[in-house]
Amino acid sequence: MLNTAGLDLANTPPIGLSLRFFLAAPLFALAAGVLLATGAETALLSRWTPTALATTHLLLLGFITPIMCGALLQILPVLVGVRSTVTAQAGAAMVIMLGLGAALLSSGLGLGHNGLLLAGAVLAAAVLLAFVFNIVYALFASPGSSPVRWTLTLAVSALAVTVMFGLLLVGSRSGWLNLAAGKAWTDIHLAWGLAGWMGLLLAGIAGELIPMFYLSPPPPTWLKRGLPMAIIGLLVLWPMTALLSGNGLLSVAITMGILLLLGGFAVTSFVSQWRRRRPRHDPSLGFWWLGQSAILMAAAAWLLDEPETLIGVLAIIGSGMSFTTGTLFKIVPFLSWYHLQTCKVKLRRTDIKLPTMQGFIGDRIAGWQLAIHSSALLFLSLGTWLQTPTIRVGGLLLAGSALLLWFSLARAWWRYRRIRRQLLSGNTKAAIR
Amino acid sequence: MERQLDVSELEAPEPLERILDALADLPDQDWLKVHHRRDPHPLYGMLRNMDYHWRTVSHGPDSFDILIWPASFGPQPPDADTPSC
Repeated sequence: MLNTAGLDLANTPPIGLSLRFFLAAPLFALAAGVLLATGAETALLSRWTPTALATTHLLLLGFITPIMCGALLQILPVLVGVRSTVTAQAGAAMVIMLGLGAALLSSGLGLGHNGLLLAGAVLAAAVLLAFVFNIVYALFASPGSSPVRWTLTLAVSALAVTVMFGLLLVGSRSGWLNLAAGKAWTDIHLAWGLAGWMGLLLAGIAGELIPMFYLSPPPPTWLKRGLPMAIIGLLVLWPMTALLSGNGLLSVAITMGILLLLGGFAVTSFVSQWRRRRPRHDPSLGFWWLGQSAILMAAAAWLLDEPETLIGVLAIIGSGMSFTTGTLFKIVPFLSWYHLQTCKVKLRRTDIKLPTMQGFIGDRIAGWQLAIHSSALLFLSLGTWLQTPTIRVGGLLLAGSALLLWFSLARAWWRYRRIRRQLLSGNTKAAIR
Repeated sequence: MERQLDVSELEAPEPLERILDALADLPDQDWLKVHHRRDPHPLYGMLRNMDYHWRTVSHGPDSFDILIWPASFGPQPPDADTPSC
């Protein structure tokens, strides 16, 4: 007989810690969708319009970053065997402060109000730098030298660099600093955020989660180690483009190098997923395919000198949002199941049958989510050429997609809490579907 | 007696489910050898608290053998031929 007495969850943070990050995120995508729909006339005329700047930060700082932070807190124990010291209370405070920071910063950019921008930037920077310190400390304290540990360390370090360049730009906008070649510094901030923080973390997570959930062959070790190093190497060179202002060739060479690396990641991911051992229809994998396709399309758009707004839409909505949403559709059901399973073993509730992962977020709702999100991407991409009406429809679809995502996550959490209550109660009659 | 379980062709979370089921059905004097394609970190916390010892041997980045035995057997694995990691 199993001795389950004293089972603890010492190495696993409470699931609510991450779900708060996940549930906050769609609200910012909703705001971004509404902003695009209502400001469609000027939204995508250029990447520098107030609406474009506000939307970009609502999506990157309000949607993608909280999801990646929340996911990192939960998957560290699963992938690396360590956990951060972020408690449930600290996590809740982080969600509120980061959300407030993202809202203020985006409002400051959208309204051209430096006070709001500064307050939001300081708040978000404080939260994110504390988060980076916590994760790096946990990763260095962990034993072993797996490639994913190194990739995660580089990714969160890239977040810190992104934040620092962001603060410099806010200082420049507020008149405290005089940054020559302002566009070049903005490009550096964006590149570290997109390719460094988002790209490396998603590549690192994909290399582990895709083989785990879809039975595809894992990427070769040389790729797992080499890709992050190569991207960081190029990103470190990028500030040279601002310091040596006027040297457009260097900037082009570095951009091309990064796009080649990310494109290579997309292609090898496609090949690996094509060779998965148990191929079956799974809408959550569709988000990964969409994200990988968007990387390749963004690279092609850059090579063909298409509008910067199109590249931004493909990179942020097509790639970043697709990858993070696809990740959510796997890890939220998995973590719900895992935490309940642990609870069940501890309480010796052999009378209760837990639902499968499908019971938390099913394929049907994931399929709808994929369809609406893909449509939003299509309309917003076309909107960079066709303008107002198309952008308005794309914005509304993005808002609808955000609402559906929030509903799916909230329902999964509600189901988790209901089953947990049943496990904790003496109700042995419960047959949980 | 050693019982063997191959979970290397299953997608998450089936490996964990199968291992817990196998342990629940494990006769008193037996132990379990699991073949997995990854190092199953989430399993170890459960094993520790269920009074099991384990030893993991890596045969490469996607091939692991995990030997699991009741703590009552002692700290050494029951199969003396199993190489230590």
